[in-house]
Amino acid sequence: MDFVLTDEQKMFGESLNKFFQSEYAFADRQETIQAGNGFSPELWRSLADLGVLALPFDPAYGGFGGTAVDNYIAFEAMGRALAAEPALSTLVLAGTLLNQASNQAQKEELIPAIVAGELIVGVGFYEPQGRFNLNNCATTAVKSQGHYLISGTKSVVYAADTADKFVISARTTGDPLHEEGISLFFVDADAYGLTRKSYPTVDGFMASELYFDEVCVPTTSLTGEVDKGLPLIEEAVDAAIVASCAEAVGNMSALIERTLEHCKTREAFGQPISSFQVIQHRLVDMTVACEHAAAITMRAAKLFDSGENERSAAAAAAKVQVNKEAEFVGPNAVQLHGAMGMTEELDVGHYFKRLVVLGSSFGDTHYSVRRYMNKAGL
Amino acid sequence: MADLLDDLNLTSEEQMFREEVREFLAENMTDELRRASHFTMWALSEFEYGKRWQKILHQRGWGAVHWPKEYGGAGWTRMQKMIWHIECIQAETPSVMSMGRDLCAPCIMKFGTEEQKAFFLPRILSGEDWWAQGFSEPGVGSDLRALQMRAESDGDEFVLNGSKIWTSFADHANRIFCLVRSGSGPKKHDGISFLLVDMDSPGIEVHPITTIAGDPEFCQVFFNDVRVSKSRLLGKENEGWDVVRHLLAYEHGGGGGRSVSLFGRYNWLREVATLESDGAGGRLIDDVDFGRQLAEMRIELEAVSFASDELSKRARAGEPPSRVSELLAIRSRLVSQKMTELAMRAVGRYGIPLQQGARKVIPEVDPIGPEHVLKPMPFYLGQRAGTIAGGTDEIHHNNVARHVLGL
Repeated sequence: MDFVLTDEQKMFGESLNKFFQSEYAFADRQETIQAGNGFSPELWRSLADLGVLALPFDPAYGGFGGTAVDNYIAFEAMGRALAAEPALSTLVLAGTLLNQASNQAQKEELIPAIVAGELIVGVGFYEPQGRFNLNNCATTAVKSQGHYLISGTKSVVYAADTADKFVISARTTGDPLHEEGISLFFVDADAYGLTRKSYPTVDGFMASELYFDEVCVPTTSLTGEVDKGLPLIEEAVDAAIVASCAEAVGNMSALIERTLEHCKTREAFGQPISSFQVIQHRLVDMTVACEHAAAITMRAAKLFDSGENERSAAAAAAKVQVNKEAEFVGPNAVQLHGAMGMTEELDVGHYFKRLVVLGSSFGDTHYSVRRYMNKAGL
Repeated sequence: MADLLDDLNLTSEEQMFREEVREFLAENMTDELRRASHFTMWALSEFEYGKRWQKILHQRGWGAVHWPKEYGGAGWTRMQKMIWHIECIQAETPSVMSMGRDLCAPCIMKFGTEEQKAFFLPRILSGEDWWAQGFSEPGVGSDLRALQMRAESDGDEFVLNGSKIWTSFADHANRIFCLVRSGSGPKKHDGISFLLVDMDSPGIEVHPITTIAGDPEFCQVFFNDVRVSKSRLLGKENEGWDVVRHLLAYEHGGGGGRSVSLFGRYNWLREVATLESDGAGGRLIDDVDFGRQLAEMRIELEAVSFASDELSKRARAGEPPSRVSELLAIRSRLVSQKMTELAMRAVGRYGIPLQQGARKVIPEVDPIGPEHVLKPMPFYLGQRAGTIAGGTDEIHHNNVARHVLGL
């Protein structure tokens, strides 16, 4: 669907799509994944050159001052290309915190490094017992003599194996489920007492479990106000929801394109399967689904700078609707490809798996419906 | 849980037989065999464990319970076979690579020469021979009669060229039964021959295909000038379609026990939700919304199960197999996929780590997160084949439209 965008935004989207088409073949992606680095340093550098890594940051620190709509454009393009890069954590999750919470020293230290493609930041908000609950934070940060001692576990942290730094939530006061009392800290990846257990993920990324055993960080590593981390985390996660839903829209567009092509060429009983009405209608329904996923996500992007509740309600709504549409488009793309769709060989299965994983990221449908009701005051 | 067997008013002999089966399963099913069955993502359990189980069955004389007694079958009644089948599902026995035992053997019995019977059947029974099924071909799909693989006649041999795809576990097989095109005729299925081929024949190459679940269950088998003696024809030259028809009756048969395996899956789903947290200090199973979804699932299952059980009871009373079974299968496949989706969502973010090594029968690495998160994601992915393999969902709809609704 063509949304109301500025000429600049349109050009940005087109140039990204063109870049991925010519520079990022599926075979390259699979090779990168096989190599086990979790991302492609060359591609990351290219993203820096293209300005994608500068997108969400304040121009005062070398950024472009992009909006959620700009993020939408970039992540839809990455979704279309199935780029397995640490963009969501470094640019969106960490980026939002840097923009909204960090002090000048932290911004000066970290933003230019990210923009230059020299710094990858992993983000640990979730814990094994917490499911999608951002306030279920059992990791503690205890203040002692100008330091904090951090102990606890963060689960399924994307890009953690290559990250140079982490930003994590830890409890400075209160019980594990309290909304108050959560603070945010930057932690160096090589900090003493921090161990990572890294593994590949179903969708071709690398992630880690992070174990903090009395990791000592200086008080200057605190970002945002002490005990007041949750609203910041929610904003960062809302931004990630919008970006990841845009990525899902890109995934779905690519799947529909491939499925359409396949159905036009694949023959059964002497004719292309696209000549069967049941297949035609299915393809139409997939397209209808994708358009509405795009619409609800762009809506959330455009409402992003409204009030807190409106922003979160719109993000939760996008999450719910996109999950639903993806649950239709993904499996049907596999189904219409037949057995070939079930193989690792074809990119279709990989798009499908990314969609499935996104459906369990930043809240599943269940969690997001409740969040929507809560934020929309229903 | 609904117990179909209790429902069927077993006679006292049948009850005794059931006890005997249960005793045998209790004695012989090990944790490893159960684990192999548990982590079966599509149709077949890790080969080594299927093989081990077949050996145990053979030692007891139950290596091929469906075969006639003269060939080494158990000589059981229809009811005994049903009891066996259901008890095996409940005991979670591994899924053996059964294309030889369940598909090829019945065809050899009906169409084979005396030499073929004497040579092949005992080897299948003992687990010395493992057969792959060479039917599907690249680009051909659900319409078998469109197959392309050539068999040129050359003296008393055939020369094979072409390839077969979706051959489960062909990399473990030492033989493969193939449909090949050896002639032509007015009908599309004319000129097809059924051949029994050794996998170690020169010119055969096997390429494993990894599924999106991450398991190398399928293969593509390439034939490049492979020579096969005409003594390996099953049935008559160019009349292989008769054999296929016989075989397909076995492939699509069964059905009894479907509801047992569906309830088994439902219980597993419940167990996952019991072990999973709700993110706020409680259990997922106690979450109102999840509980409601689980209840709706259960209701769908009761409908599927009742319908399928009624059908098996009617079949037991001697009614001919009904086309309605295909109609019911459309729904049961869907319900069965839905349960895997619910389980996958139940484990939340811990579905994301790729854990192939951790779910091996002998684990290669420790699991990420608790043990119960290992299965749902790959199972969900693997079971997407449920509406593709054995005829796509779309094909079954066509069949029901034609044969049940008369359209």
